[in-house]
Amino acid sequence: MSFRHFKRRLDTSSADESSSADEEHPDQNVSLTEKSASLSHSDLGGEILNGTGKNRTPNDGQESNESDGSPESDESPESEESSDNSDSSDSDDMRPLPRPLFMKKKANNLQKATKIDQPWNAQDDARVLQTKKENMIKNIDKANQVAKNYETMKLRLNTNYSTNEELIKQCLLLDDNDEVDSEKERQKWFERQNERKQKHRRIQLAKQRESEEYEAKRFEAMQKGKDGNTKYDVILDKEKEKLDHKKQRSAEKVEKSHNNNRYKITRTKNVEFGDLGKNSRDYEETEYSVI
Amino acid sequence: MAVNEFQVESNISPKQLNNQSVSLVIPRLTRDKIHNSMYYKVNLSNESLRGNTMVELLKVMIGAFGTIKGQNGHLHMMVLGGIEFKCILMKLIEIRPNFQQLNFLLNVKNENGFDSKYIIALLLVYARLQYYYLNGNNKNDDDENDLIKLFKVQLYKYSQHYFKLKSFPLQVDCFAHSYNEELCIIHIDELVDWLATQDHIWGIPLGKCQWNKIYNSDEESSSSESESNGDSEDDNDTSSES
Repeated sequence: MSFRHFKRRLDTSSADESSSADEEHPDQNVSLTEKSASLSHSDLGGEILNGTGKNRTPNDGQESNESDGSPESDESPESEESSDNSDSSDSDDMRPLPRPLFMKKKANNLQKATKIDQPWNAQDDARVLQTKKENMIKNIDKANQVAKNYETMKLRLNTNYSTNEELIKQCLLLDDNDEVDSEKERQKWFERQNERKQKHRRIQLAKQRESEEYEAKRFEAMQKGKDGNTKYDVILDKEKEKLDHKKQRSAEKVEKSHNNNRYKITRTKNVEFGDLGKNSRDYEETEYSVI
Repeated sequence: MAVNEFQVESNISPKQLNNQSVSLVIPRLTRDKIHNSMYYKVNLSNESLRGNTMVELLKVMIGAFGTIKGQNGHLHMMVLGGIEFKCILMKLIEIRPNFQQLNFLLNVKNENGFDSKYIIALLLVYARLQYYYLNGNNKNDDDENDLIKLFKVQLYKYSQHYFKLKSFPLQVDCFAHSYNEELCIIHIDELVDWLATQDHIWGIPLGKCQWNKIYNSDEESSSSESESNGDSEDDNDTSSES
């Protein structure tokens, strides 16, 4: 425990010595950087160099600590020298590079952006404005036209002497302007023409079919006429049948006469002949009694 | 007897065609309704026309049926088949225009944007209604032949057109129905086809006719086809001029 406390005190003292030794070297470097700055005539360069100088000091401190810790003390100053040289070389290389690159790129980008954006924006704005104006004008014209039409229609409707207002309204709602979509009207006309042709063709076909049917029926009638001539024999057969039937009937009549007693001659039963005599009880004289 | 018979019935025109009065083409009930309508009394009587000739009637026809090309189609108020149309048709029948007048009106050139499509429709209906009896077999009568030729040409010409007209439906009688029928847009070729095939229009009967068979004549003979081609060329010329 006591040994540790002693080591810390010794480290701090050695650090102070190393710092005093290092201060000489950065002083020389600073003088060099100051000379270069004066040559370049730029304050920014000086500031950058000052920054680099500040960066060096903490690195040197760290290295000194390490050397004190290690038993080998001869190797450490060589490493310090090499590190100093590398730092100085970096600073020398970095001096001219960033300035022109950054400035040029930014400047170029800004200029390009302005060049590209401004005319496009201007053109687009101009076009948009023009289209907006045109649309506004068109809308205004349409609205004016609609208002005029409405006013004229209303005036005609009010001033018309007819009592059939619904008819007038329907008439006003229809549009018979031929200049509206004339191509479509032409196509519709072609369609109507085709329909009429087909209708006419159908009518002609019907007439032809009717005439053909008439001729066919006429031919059939002629055929039937011929068949009728052949059927005459059948009629003869029928006549024969009729004759046979008549003979049978006559035979039946002959048979019936034998059995019928209606017409036989018989004796007289009543000689006075009813009530015709004058001596009867119910006899009454009338104007016909003389007869 | 005949004279007394005419005296009993009023509103009969003294002019004659086909050995009868020109007014008898329209049946009695329809004729009475037309003569009793307010439009006829106010606009078409001899006193209101201040005459009884075609010159006075033409003013009324143009005022009622004339349209302007390019104008808004909604604003035209006259309708084919309506009461006004039938009144003017009746007056036209009573006046009986001659061949020159008919030829002029059917072949008028529309200038300064004037469009006579409604007047043409009126005249086609008038020709079909009044001159149904014309027969091409009578070779001695040149007037009849001229009329037949004119009407055939005009029917075929306007069967090739398709301009729009406001109208009642062609099978509807505006006097017979108590409720309002729907108006519609018809085309002139539809009207011509109806006049060529049907026997009535807007409640008015059409007589048997022999010169309106434009489809049969076109399909049967080639000479008529050549004539039709010539007519179509004339139509193109008139359209180009208009």
